[in-house]
Amino acid sequence: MRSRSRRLGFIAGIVTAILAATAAGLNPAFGDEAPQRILSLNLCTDQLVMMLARPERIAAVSHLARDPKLSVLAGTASQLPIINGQAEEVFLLNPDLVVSGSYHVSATVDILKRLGLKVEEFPAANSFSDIRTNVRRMGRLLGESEKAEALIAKLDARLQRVAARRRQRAALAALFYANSYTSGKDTLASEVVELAGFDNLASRLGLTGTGELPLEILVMEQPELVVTGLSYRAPALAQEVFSHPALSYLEKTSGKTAVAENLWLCGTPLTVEAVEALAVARDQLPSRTAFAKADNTEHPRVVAPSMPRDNRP
Amino acid sequence: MSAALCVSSLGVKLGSRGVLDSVSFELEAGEFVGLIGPNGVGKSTLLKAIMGFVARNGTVTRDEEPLDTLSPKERARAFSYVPQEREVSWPITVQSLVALGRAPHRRGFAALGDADWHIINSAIDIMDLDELRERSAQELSGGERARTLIARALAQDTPVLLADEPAAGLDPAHQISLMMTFSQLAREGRTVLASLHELTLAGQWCDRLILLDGGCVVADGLPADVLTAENLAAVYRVRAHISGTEAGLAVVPTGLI
Amino acid sequence: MTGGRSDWLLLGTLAVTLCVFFILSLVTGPAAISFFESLDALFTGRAGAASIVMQEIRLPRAILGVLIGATLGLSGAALQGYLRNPLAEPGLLGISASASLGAVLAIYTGLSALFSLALPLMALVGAVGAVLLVRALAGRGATTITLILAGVAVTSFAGAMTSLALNLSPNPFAALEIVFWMLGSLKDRSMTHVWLALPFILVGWVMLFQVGRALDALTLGEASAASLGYRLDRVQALVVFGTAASVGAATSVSGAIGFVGLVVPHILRPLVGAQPSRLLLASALGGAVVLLAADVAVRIIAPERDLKLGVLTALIGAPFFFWLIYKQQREVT
Repeated sequence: MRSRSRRLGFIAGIVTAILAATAAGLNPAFGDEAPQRILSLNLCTDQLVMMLARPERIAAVSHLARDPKLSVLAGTASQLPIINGQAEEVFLLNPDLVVSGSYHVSATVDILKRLGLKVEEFPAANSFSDIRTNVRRMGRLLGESEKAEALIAKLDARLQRVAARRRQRAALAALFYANSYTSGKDTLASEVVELAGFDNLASRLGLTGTGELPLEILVMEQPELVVTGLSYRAPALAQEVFSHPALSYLEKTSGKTAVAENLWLCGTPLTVEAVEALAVARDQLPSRTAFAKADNTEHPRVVAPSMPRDNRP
Repeated sequence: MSAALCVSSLGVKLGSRGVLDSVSFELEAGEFVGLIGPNGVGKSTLLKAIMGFVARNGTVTRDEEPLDTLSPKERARAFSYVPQEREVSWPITVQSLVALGRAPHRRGFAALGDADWHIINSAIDIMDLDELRERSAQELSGGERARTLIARALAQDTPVLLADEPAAGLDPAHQISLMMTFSQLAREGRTVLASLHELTLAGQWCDRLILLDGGCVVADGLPADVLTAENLAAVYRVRAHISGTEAGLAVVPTGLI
Repeated sequence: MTGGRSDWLLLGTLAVTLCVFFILSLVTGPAAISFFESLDALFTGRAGAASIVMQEIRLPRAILGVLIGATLGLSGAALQGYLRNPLAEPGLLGISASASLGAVLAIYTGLSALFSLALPLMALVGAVGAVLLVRALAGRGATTITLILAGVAVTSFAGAMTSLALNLSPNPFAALEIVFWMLGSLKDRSMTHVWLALPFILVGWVMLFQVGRALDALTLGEASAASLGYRLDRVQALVVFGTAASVGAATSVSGAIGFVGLVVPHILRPLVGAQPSRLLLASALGGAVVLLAADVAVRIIAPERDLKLGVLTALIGAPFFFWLIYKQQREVT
């Protein structure tokens, strides 16, 4: 009698142990602690990490995180250690999790993987759905899934509010950055513009990804809103196009606004602020009929696209 | 009497080396003067110094007026100069090369006139270049090029002509033609000063010879008085046979001293 | 001099070709405006956006093509005549690169934003420095090898300094703009650029056209030219400052464009009897034609990319340059 119950107990113990071990194997968080020395090598992952993890858990972020033109959390980053992204520096900081963008210099990342570090690569977010995916994944990796879901819920609520107020007719907007660059289909900036109640000129012309919008075409299309990125104070030829006389002509017929580039350079929950800002700009545009009467120019023709269908890299 | 060219105490230093020391002579209109002397004695330097191309002491005057006071164009209308280096940088035609001689006489952007062409054509004829008019000056033989460059100086139509080794590389017929031309110029009342290596040529054709040695004028006078055995031995360090022919003096070096 | 009718024929042909390419440049561009509409928009100014495109984008580009191309051709012919060397041109001798350096210093320090004339003036200073430096390095009557080496030295130094200046700029775009300054482009230039460069270019042209006769005389060497009544110090000043002013101003608005000043005079020389004075105007017209053609080509070949003019001129110019050197070496041996 006694030896039988002892044998049962022994078998139950082993089964429980096996089940527990299996459960532990299936759920890494169970039994694993959330990473305590997180290191980010990429501007976009920097910002996600800073939004989700407490500062004590962050070993370092990239030096770009401190540039207020590029990063929405420059202030937070100024309190954190920074690195320049070389393998030696990374290794010496002894992180237990390294996050990086898929576009990061792969030689560095290869070395880190070979050294046995845990490296997770995040692709750039080209849409709000990408933003949600990245935030969820980062939340899981950092053991902050709840916080991640909360951020996403807030993001969705704000987008809903914008959608509710959006007008029926999408106005034509053009994104125009330094060196005459623009964002076409499948870019985050394009989706921001569309969610705010505009048609993106570059998408309409068939451009995918980031590419050039010739000044001539910008002028001919006469968009109702020109959205420029911020310029640096120090001069460069790239910014000269913003003072071109042809653009000042456009300013008479179009609205012009600038959006802080750091809002959509990386896709984060804060990108919704760009949508909100542009929605305000949409509201402020004069109505189309009033606009057409105000100046006597001919109604601009829709131009057969002379731009390439695909943006060949 | 005002001299066509008066050189007085002319000295030239190249770097720290003194090349010419106190050279003085006077040339009259209607003289064909030969400048002779061994290699490196300073014949070219003297001609360049007269033209003002190298720094010099002393004075050079023409008709009592120092050359330094003339504008470059005025000087170019008084003096023509043919350098020793027969440089032609571009393949221009013989005719356009000769026409360059008219430069000091042209005004502004005006084209060449009939009078200019008359002078150019006669220069071409005198130097026997008529068949070579349209040829590229870079394709000529050494002698043909030499004649072309002298024709340019003739086209310049100046009272004084300075030439540095004009007869070098010419065949005998053209050498004699050249000497005849210079003589003719002198007959017309011009002054020709040419440095020469060919002593027989100099002896036969020049009205006067100036012999340079050691940076000074060693002899200055009629060819017969300058081309003596003593002078040749002292300056050229050769023994020579000097004889009179029906054409004039003949100088034949026979051996070393 | 001689030439007369054949010169008028050549110049007339070049002038007509120039007009054709000027019009071609005006009607080429990414905006799809038909031929007649574009000319109408240009002249009447009443076609709204199309007029803006024509008058503010295409017209300055075409005008600069003429001004800069003519400058490059003219200065190439003048330099070749002055240095008596068929391989001289502002690009090879480092004049364009030094002008770029001056322009870069003016723009990226913010100086030209305060005082717009600082741009062409500093480019001019850079260009003067280069001409004097090359002359000093190569000496009188320099051989081809010496001249090219002097040019390489100046170009390398100027290029390195330009790159340094750009890399030190706080603006992150600056470092990449070395390509513009080294290869040149007329993209998105405006009438502002035209007015900025025009006075200096015209002054430079006036100076350079005056040395034609002297260059003819220089064919026979400096001594002969001096003996023909030309003041060589004045000729040098006119060539140096004329080149510096025109090439400097041109480079300050378009970057350094090479090989035009090398190839155009070389091709036209046999057509003008090799006389430097006749070559000046012909090279100016020829240079304008070549640059306009190149500018039309870059817009047709790669309309969505910013293909630099210098790429096209180098594609033709560099092999031509090799052939010239090969020919010269063969003549020497």
